[in-house]
Formats: sequence, C-alpha cells, structure tokens
Amino acid sequence: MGPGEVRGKLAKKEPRISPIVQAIAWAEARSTAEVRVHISRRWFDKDPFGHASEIFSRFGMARTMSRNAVLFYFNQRLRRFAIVADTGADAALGKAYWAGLGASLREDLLSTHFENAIAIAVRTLGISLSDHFPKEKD
Amino acid sequence: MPKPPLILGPFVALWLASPGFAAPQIPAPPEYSVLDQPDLLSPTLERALETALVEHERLTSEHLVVAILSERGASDAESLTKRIAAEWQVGRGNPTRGILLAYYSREKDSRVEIGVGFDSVLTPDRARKILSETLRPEARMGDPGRGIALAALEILRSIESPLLPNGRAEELLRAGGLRGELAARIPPPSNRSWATWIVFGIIISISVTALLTSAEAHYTRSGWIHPKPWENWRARILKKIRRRRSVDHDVALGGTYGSW
Repeated sequence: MGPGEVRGKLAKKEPRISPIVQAIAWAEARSTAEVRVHISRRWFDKDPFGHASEIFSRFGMARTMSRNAVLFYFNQRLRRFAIVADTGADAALGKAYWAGLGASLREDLLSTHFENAIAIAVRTLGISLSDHFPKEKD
Repeated sequence: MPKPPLILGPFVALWLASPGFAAPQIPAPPEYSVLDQPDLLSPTLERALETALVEHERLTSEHLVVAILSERGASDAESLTKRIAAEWQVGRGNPTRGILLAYYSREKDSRVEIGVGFDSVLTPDRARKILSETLRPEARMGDPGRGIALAALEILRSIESPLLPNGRAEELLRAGGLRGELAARIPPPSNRSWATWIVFGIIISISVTALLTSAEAHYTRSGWIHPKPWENWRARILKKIRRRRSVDHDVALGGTYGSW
C-alpha cells in the first residue's frame, strides 16, 4: 500500500459503470453502427414496437450514414421488449436474425439479471454488426 | 289467418282505458287568463298575475294565458299544449295574437305556444331560453309558482308589453307576493356536480401519478440520460408546428418484439 492510499470504508469507490453502457461502448467500438438501449416503466404500453419506433425517431437514430442503428426497448413494468433496427441493419441481418436475437434475449431476461441480459444481447448484436459494418471500412 | 283469442279482449280494453295511456282531459278555460289546477300559486300571486295579463290584453289586444296543470299524462308537452291553445281559443279566435304558457306539475315540464304574430319578438329559441333560465331553476329549487310568474314577466318583456316601461307589471307581481329581485335565483350546485369533480380529481391524480412513476432511462455509449415525460410531447408539437416530414418515418423499420 503506497503513501496516501486509503483502505477500507474510507477508500473512494470507483463509480459503477452500467454493464449496458459498457456493452454499448464495446459494440460501437467494433462497427459503425449505433446501438442504444431505452428502459421504461410506463403503466400503459399497448404497442411496444410502435413506441420504440417513436423513440428511435425522437433521438434521431435514423441519421446514421449506413442506416444501421439499432434500439433496444424494454418496459420493465409490463415486461415487454422491442428491438428496432434501421433499414440498413435490417437488410444486412435479415428477419430471422431478429427473431433469434429476440428469443435468446427473452431466455436471458428470464434466467439472469436484467442488466446482464441486456448487455449480453447488445454484445451479441455488436458481433453481428461488426461483420457487416466493420469500423475500419469507414 | 287465425283469429286472436277472445280471452285477451278485456285485458286489452282495460289497458287502453288505463289512465297512463289515455290523454288527460283538458279542463275548461280559466275566466281570467290563469288556471292553477294544482294550486302552485298563492291566491294573491294568482290574482296579481291575472291582473297583469288582463291589463296587457286590454292595452294591446294580445291574449296571454297561463295554464298550470297537474299532469300531462302520456301526451307530450308540445301536442297537449297545442290542443289546449286550440280548445281554449287562445288569441280570442285569432291564434296569431295569443300566447299560452303551460306548466305540467307532476312531470315538471313546461312549454310556450306562441302565435305567429309574435314571431319577430318572441321566437321559439327565446321562449326556450325563458323556460330554461327562469322557470326551471325556480322549479328545481322547489318554487315553481315563482318561476311561472317570472316566466310570464319575461314573456311580457319580450313582446314589449306597455306594462313594463312604467313598472306596472313588476308592481303587480310584488303586490302579489314576489320578493327579492325579479329574476331567477341561481340554484345551488347539485350533488352530481360534486361527484363529477371528485371523479375528475381522481382521474387527474391517477394520470399524474402514472406520469411521475413512468421513469425512463436512455443508454448510449457515453452513459445514460433520464428523458423527461414532457420532452416527447414537446418533440411532437414542434414537429407539427414546423410541418417537416421526418426522414425517420419514410421507411418501415425492422426488428422484433416480445415479452418475458
């Protein structure tokens, strides 16, 4: 222990970085795509995909060069989720991919911690996006 | 074609003859322009009203009659009032010069039958307004007699009776016992309005609670932000004001959705 270091309870704790933020940073470091996660606790959410689409446009996520932004939307109160992908990402990955990602996300949400499940889905997406939209090509 | 069974005949006849089905008998016309069957008016007020209507007729040849009946039965107010006006010859044989104010006590219904000669001064809308703003509030407050007297006064005012400018009509009604301002009193709010406000308050409280507890978090690679609920509405309003087609809505988005 060096001079000036403090041990025990007086030691300053490192601010905790959410695993979701870490996963997003990791995914975006490997591709040109933009990935975001939106978590809501709305009481009424009849159409999660429609609401997620509104959030997608509200935050201007369609303004990427390759139209490859993806938004994960979760309603924690009603336990619903939606994955919204811009046209470029949708064309590159295909509808079957989203169905598979949604299924694995659902299993993770049921089996593990909420934040960790999201982080796993984001990292999985990041790997797929890096194959189609690698960072170095830009 | 089989004939209906004869056994039903007496029951049908009894039903047809029942008081609820038959139109009420029209009483004989009053001697002095006011008929008060259920005695809603005090004797002095009845005399005062009669005097005012008779004096108006003497000055203008316009025949105004007030008919206060106990009930109208199964008949509707409009047709029964027309029948009364026709049978009593309101207008003294010239229906264009007659006005009948009818009040049906049991149903708390009222109607004004106006001769066509008064079209320019007393329209049906004006008559409806007199009834709704003068007679009915007083009837709701339990004093239909006062309401009828005030409605008659308003009718005299509408047809520009010479009894109004010199204050004669008001003087007569005050002598008949009308107190206070000669306008309808404002009825107290009904219990239903309280219930409405309570329900409205509950809805507002639930909406505000739902809004405040509908927390949202938006994560990016830099961190996360906490968008305010009204930011979404502001964005929608600004978009409508600017009338700019957002490129975001030009194409359908892909993806999936589900629940867990």
